[in-house]
Amino acid sequence: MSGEQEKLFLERMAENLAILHKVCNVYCNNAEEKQDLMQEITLQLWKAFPSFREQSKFSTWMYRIAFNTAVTNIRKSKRHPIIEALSDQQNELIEKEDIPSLDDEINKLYKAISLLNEIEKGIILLYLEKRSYAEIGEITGLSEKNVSVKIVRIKAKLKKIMS
Amino acid sequence: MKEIDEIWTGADKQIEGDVSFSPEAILESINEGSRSITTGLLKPLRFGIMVATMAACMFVYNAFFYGGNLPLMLAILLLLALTVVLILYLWSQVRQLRRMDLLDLNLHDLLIHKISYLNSRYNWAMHGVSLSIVLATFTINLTIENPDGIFEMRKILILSVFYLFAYLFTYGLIKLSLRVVDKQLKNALFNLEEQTLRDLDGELRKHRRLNRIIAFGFLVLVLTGIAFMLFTIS
Repeated sequence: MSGEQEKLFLERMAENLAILHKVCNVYCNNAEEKQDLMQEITLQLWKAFPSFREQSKFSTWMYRIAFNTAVTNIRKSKRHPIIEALSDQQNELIEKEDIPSLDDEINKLYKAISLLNEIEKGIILLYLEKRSYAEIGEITGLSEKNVSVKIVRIKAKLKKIMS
Repeated sequence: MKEIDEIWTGADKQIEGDVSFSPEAILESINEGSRSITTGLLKPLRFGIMVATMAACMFVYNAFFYGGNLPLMLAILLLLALTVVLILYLWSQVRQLRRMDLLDLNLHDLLIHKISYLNSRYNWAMHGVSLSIVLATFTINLTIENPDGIFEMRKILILSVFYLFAYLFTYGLIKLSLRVVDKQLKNALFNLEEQTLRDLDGELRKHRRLNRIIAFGFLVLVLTGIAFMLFTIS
């Protein structure tokens, strides 16, 4: 990567760092895992940046690389089984650590999201980030109709977990 | 109870304030290198290349050593050619794996691509790594067993069984380590789209059956060749 490209990459990264944090918060249960995943996603973004052709928004491209990395690459942590709903007792067993800078309500939401499967985590994050169904489809490879059906189901699942 | 969208809006503001990842930290994390699944998959291939390169060197040495024994030298040159082809194939797979993460694909297509690769070309590469062990063992045997330039081996059956065991053991070991990755990728694809998985499963079953038949045939051919050569020479 040339010096100019490197500068551009760092600028774009600085503008979109929140994406990286949110993806890692959703996919990781503790600070160590988050650090590993952030490092891996950053590396993949760096490697792929020379082939980024501005055909889509930088943030969409960044989400795509981040999800591809989170779902297909990092496999160090213990995974939760997929569950439909949790009792209060089960809820206490969630291993996800609180993120100190966030308030209780948001940590509760993150914990609920941590119980979804890898794909659901990605889709709900994109939905919460107000990405259009077309954009979510572009990132995941699903049709817009499939995306909307999945979002309805995931929201219902989250509501059940959090209630 | 608040809607999740509403809660998230709060998260957005707090995370914006929390972001602290300087350009230096970004560059540092790039320099630290990868610890991904791809890196894990590269290890057996690199090991195979190393073993096959060692075997190739030993074959060259043996070709000189058995200079006076024309049939054996020809056999050694043939095995040397096979080893070189093996090194090139394994190297091409290393390059392919490195490029895989850079593919500009959506998640669905990437999962299909990775699963299909692991069950076809990477599977072949695993056979290649196992074969490199057999070739290396054979060439070591060639070197240490024959001080007078005449290759003589008595317990051929035991030796053939040993080679077969070494081959199957290596293959089984790599396959076992790959199983978790394969399962995780398939689970992700299943969660993304059930129908696609069914299509892919049928495709993979065909691949696997063909792979097994070809690998078995190839192994029988190599072992028969070695056994035949040993019989002829002794």
